[in-house]
Amino acid sequence: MRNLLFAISILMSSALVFSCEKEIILDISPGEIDFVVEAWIYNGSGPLVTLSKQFSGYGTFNQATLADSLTVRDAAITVNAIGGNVVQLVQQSLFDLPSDLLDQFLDANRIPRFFGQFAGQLAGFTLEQQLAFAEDVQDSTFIQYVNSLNFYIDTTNTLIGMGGIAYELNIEVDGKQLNALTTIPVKQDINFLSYTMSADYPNYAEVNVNLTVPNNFDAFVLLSNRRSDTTAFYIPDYFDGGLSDNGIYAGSGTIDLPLLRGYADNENPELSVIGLFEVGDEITLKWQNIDEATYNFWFSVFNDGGDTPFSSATKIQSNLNGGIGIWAGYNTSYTTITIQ
Amino acid sequence: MRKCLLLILIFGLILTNQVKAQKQFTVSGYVKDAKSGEDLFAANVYIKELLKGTTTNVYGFYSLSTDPGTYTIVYSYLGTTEVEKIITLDKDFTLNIELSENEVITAEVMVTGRKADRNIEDAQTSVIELEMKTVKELPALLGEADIFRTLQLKPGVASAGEGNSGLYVRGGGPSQNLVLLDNATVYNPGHLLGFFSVFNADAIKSSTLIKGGIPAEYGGRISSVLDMTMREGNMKEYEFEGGIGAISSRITAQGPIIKDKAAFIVSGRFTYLSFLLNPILERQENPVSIPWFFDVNAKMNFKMGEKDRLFISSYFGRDRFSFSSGGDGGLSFELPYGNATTSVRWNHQFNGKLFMNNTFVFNDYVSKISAGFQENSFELNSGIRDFGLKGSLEFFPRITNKFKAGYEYVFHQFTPYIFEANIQDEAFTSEIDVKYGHEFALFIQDEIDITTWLKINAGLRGSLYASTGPNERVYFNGAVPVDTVQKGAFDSYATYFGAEPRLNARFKIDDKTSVKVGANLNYQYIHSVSQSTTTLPTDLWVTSTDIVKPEIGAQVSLGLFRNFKNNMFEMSIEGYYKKLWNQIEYGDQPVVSANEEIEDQFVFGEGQAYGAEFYAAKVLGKITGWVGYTLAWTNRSFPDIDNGKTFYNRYDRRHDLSVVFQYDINDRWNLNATFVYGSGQTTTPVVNRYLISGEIVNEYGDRNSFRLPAYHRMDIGASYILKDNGKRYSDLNFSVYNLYSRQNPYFIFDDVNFSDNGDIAIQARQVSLFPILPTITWNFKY
Repeated sequence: MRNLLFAISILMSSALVFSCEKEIILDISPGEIDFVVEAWIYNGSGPLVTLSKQFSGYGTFNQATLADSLTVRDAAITVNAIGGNVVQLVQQSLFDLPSDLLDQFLDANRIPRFFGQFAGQLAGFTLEQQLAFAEDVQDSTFIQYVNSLNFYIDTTNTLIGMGGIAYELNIEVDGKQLNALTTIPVKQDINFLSYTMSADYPNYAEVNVNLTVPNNFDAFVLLSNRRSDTTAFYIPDYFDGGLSDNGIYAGSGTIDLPLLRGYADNENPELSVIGLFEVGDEITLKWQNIDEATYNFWFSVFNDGGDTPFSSATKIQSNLNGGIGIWAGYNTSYTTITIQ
Repeated sequence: MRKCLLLILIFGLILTNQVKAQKQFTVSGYVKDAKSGEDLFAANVYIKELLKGTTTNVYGFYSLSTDPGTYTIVYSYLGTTEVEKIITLDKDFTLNIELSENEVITAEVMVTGRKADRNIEDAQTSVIELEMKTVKELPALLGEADIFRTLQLKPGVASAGEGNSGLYVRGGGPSQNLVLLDNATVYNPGHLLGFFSVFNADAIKSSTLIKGGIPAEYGGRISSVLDMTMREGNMKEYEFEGGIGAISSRITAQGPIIKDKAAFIVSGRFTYLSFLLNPILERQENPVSIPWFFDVNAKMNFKMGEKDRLFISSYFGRDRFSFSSGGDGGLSFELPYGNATTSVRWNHQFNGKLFMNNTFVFNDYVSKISAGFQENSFELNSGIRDFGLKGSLEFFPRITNKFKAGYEYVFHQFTPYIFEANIQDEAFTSEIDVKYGHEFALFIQDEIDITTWLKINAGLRGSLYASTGPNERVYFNGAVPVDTVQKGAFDSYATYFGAEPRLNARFKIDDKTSVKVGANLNYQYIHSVSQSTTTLPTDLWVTSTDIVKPEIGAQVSLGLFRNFKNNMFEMSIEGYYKKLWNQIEYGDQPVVSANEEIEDQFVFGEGQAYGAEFYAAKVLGKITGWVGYTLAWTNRSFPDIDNGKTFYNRYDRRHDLSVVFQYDINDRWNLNATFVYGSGQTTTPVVNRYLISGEIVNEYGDRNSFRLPAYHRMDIGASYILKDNGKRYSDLNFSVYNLYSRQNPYFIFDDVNFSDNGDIAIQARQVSLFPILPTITWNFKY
């Protein structure tokens, strides 16, 4: 639907030939401030939880101090593997995170590693040094924001995410109880990546995901891709936020689906070759099987267009009881291909 | 059911008494325009000695039955010279009359040329009859004379604001209005995403909006009826007329096929701004594309003897938006949509008292979104197609009694959002089937003068709807399919029956004053729900099913009507209360799966609307115009929206004021001006925000809990007649839209700015569409 509204918005821009705009002061009473959870558990990793608060809808905020003022500390958090063990999470800073959780977090926040995903660590650079490099390509105040965040992790390494297992998150903070349940789905991976050179643009290629889709296939997927030359972090594709309800292809057998190139916020894609990759790109697809609640959460985040003539206000679908945000299980795999 | 039977019994008794009373004779016939031979709808025919009369039906037919005697019958119609005929009524006979246009229209002539006190006499309450002359004269956006925008100037009819020609009638939505063009339903009456209505004023003969007390002959919608008829074509000579405007041109040709026996009219409009500007605009760094539209109205009518007439009319219109990033294989979008209607009507006059009409109707509304990218293409198709048959018998037993009964059957075919994709030479289609519905209705209604002071128009409509196959319906739990049901062509998912009583009553206080009461209960079996704050061509029409129940609306209204100064001034105050059941909205969440039925995204609730409408008009003289003011409330309550909390819906306008001024300065110059004021539209505000993966996410408050700034605007216009020698006519129409360039809110968006020092500034910005826009239109006729 967002594609549809996006199309209409572009077309309606012609009507805005006559239009003008101005700042308007809205006298809106702020709502009750809720706790915000962003938490996940990958297959093969422990859980990672960040806890923050909401802020008012309009005004000027300093990014560097925003996270510090919003981050919620000293929460009591447990994760229970249904049918397995329960662990108590411990508060940590960014620099204390184990490498797998650090990578997951930096990917989620699209923070580039100057030397790529793992090369920086292999070369012996500290995270601080890498982030200092990153400041050249990312807003420095955003890095300050990231630095001030607090994380809750399982320091005992006794709870490792597995496909097909459900996990319960329980949070107690400021006298409030928050809880949520998620499942790391059983992996339904792709077969391989392939590419075909563009007939019209010799330096560009269309990358395809080869996938076998049996009957009754209802896998929800979050997919993103990165290119080694310019972006060292994963970006959802341009059109649908990297969300795919592959149930619509159920029964199609083995098919090729186009993998559309993602673009960073500061990139200005050429419309005629939008979605195509370039010769020399080393492309890594991050393919994450997710459960329905996680799909709905990201779908609603991506599809919120505000209450305008061409879009509707979308209430974000959270799986948290007592708060907002998402407790997500990801069954993640990576596949790489290089355009020759 | 008992009440229904009682009503039928009352009708029967009334009719029986009327027929049995005494031997009467009937004078009947058609009233036509002397110049063109076209039927005149709502012409006044009355017997001077009895001070009783009637008006012609939409086919120009009238019938007067009364006691034997010698009478003077007076025929009159707006802008024509009245005709008096002295008759001796000692047998049934036919008297066809042609009325000639007034050469000079004076206030005195117009007093008699118009049925001046019809607003006092008629039983029908809450009705607006729009004259095409007014539509064409008033200043218009970009010079496009627009029936819908003129209707929005009347009390009880609110606009959706800038850029939306949808009609919000007494708190109802655009999809709750029955819009008829020559008996065919027009499903999307908006061009250019609703900036203009699809109706070409050159092709329309009459336009009647019924806001309350909807007669039993109309059904299928719960808010209002807009019944329009197309012109029929000049039976006597060929005529051409047209105009060249800022964004479009139009041309109409009409004339006899066989003189005085058959005629045609063809009228077309097309926009050309896109052809001039798109080559430039599409080459910009951020290319945009101006959309275009065209529409064609065509009609033929044939006299098949004295008692039979055949009308064939069609409308075809298309809008197309397109966008291309340029280059081979680049990104491209197209949004073509439009209506097509055809109606074939056969009138038969059995005798002077009995008139029959049968209509075959075909409607088709299609909308498609298509996108292309490299070797891949995507399409999202939707629409609705109807085949229908309607018929009615009008019986005129006495001068004081008009009885009408009829039937209606419509076969609906709904195309939901059907997704088709071609990816790498492989085709994919979503698994949603076409839906079918059968809508059937019978009605009876009787308009009768019970006494000199009491006139009623009462009726009953019985409606039946079945949603059927052949198709397959997948039931979901969330986004996961859990069950599949297959139905054949005669198997129904759900069948509904509705008994819909209707009543209008007029209590005449004196010759200048009457009080009217209107009441109606309506069922609506097909539905359209919009996901945005406006109506879009992609809004889908859906059938009632086992999940989607029929919408039901009940309304009562009470009005005081009074004329002053020999009917020069009209005044009315009307109050209404409307209760709505089974209302439909999208839930708070977006559509999840391409395979999911759209109805799975709906939530259901109730609503109500109430308010008061004040109207004062000067209808005669060189200076005419009106002031209309509406004070209204409309709200909805849905268990699945904001935990059932009642909210004002998007059609809520607390205050709505319209002032219209027209001044015929002399034979050449005409000045006019309009002013509108409306309370701001409701919107759903952002109350808090939060960060997810470093991105800002919005937390919304209650639905429609914030109101945008008020809307107001003044337009002025003038017409100058360049030439008018009886054979050739031309004028220039000057129009200034938004005279004081008010920046009216179109919508609000959030502007997020990151400054160099790390500050994030989030502010609301209001987008306004049209500043002051002067336009000139040249009109001609010969």
